[in-house]
Amino acid sequence: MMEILSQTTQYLTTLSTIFLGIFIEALPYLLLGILASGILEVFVRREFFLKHLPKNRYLGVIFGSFLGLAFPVCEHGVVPLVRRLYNKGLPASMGISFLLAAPVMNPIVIASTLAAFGFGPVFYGRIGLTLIIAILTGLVFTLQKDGEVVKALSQELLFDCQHCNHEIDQALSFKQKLSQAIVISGEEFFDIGLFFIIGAFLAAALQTFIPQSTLLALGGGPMLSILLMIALAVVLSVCSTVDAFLALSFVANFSTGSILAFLVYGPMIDIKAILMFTRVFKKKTILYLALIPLFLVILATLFINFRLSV
Amino acid sequence: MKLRTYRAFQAMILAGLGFFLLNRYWAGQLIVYIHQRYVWLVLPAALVLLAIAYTLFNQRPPIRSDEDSFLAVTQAPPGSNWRLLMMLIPLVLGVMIPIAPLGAEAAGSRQVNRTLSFSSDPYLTEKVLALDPGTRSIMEWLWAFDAAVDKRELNDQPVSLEGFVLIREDLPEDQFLVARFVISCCVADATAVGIAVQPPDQESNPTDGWVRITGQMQVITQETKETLLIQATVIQSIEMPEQPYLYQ
Repeated sequence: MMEILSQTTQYLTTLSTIFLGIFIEALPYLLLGILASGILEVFVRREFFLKHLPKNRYLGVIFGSFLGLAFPVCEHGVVPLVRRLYNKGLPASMGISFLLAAPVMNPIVIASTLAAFGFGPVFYGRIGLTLIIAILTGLVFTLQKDGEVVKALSQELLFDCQHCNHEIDQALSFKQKLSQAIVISGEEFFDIGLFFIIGAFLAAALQTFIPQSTLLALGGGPMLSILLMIALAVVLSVCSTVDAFLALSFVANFSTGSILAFLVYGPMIDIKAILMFTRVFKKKTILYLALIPLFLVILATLFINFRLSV
Repeated sequence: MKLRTYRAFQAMILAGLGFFLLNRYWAGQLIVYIHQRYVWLVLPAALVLLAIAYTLFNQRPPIRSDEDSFLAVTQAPPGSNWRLLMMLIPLVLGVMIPIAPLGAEAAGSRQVNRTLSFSSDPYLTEKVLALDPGTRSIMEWLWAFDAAVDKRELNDQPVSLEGFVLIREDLPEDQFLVARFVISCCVADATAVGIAVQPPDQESNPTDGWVRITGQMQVITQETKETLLIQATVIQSIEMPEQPYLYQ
């Protein structure tokens, strides 16, 4: 009895430490995302935003995949931001290419990948594959109507003045607008942040009961190693800004293809991201969002594994 | 729930979280959760949480609505009780469960790596082999072992390192592992690494806790594979180091 109790306490302590590790490590990036979202909602007009978007939706998808260079957010910050952009009129397909590419296609992640791997196949492969997969997935969604893909935003996440006229909007001082932006950011934290916390908790529970060493010990092989690395990326749910250094520790035991699978799929989809997606997308969209990149990543990295081993 | 009450609760939770992070930051305890490289980011994050809390509290709708504000939202969004409760999770876990770095208990059920891959870059290989053996950590010893072309060159080098004791069934009965957790980003990616230790005599064979091992390194062959073994001359019980993990 005492042993069961001490074992449970031990599991609980480990679970708590790992959960707080994931939470604290990703929190600054999530906050950056919700602040950007609040500011965008209050300070950027829908008409102004729409005027500057590419008119051609295919071009828009390509443009979306590079938007991360202007909004440097990782996969935790990008979800509230893309939801806000949808509310401003961003086409669903363009938002998806932004959502999938931005966690890698941003200055911080490009720099950290370069620091970890230098100019080489992993660096170019990560950027190239991310762009190709984000664009292809975005193009698939050009076939659907935006309303079928994205959920509407709930009332508390909108700027109070959006129903009133522009004169009143303009009468608000900068300070009042800033307060509004911060209130919306706070609401966003309690909305999307909730799913982030549940996701971090699930990831921590999986880590406590299935340590990564157990996954890694399952071994190699061109296909199995890719699947293992994808599973590891999904379970670990580590932020894309820091995952390059982690991937570095797998280099000697895993093929380039499987390292790339970890570095490309991980930033797009993990447990936290899927849960956060439920606040933005309809169920069917989430399924496609997880499966299309998965299929493409496996295909591309398998090709790389066979190509490099010949 | 009234929106005014909801906002007050939101502000309290965010402020609580902000102060909790500030407290851990000033106490230098964040390294228990994340790599020291990212600790500084927590400070602005905590300040942002406090700023949001302050604004939410100040922006509560007034108790009595004005005559013309009957259209304004006065009720909290649906599911607000549930949201508030869930958002308390990090704070409750952080405050209620005593802070405990991953150690021997957590490593007990995990695989402990007795080899560690190192870069194939000749410059880095040379650098790790040039490290003073007496200052190498467990991780650096395993790197050096991986980097050395002739493993035997590590034989008889002086060892002085710290780690926690792990008794493993796959080791001879009179030996134990001295181990540490290595982290790259945060504790979610922690892996345990260890080296076998041969104590000078049976009496000095510790069963748990943190130890400082002094002795000499030996490269031995175990089941056709070369591995490291520390021939300990002194095993000293110590307190857990200020930085319990090794960072790669």
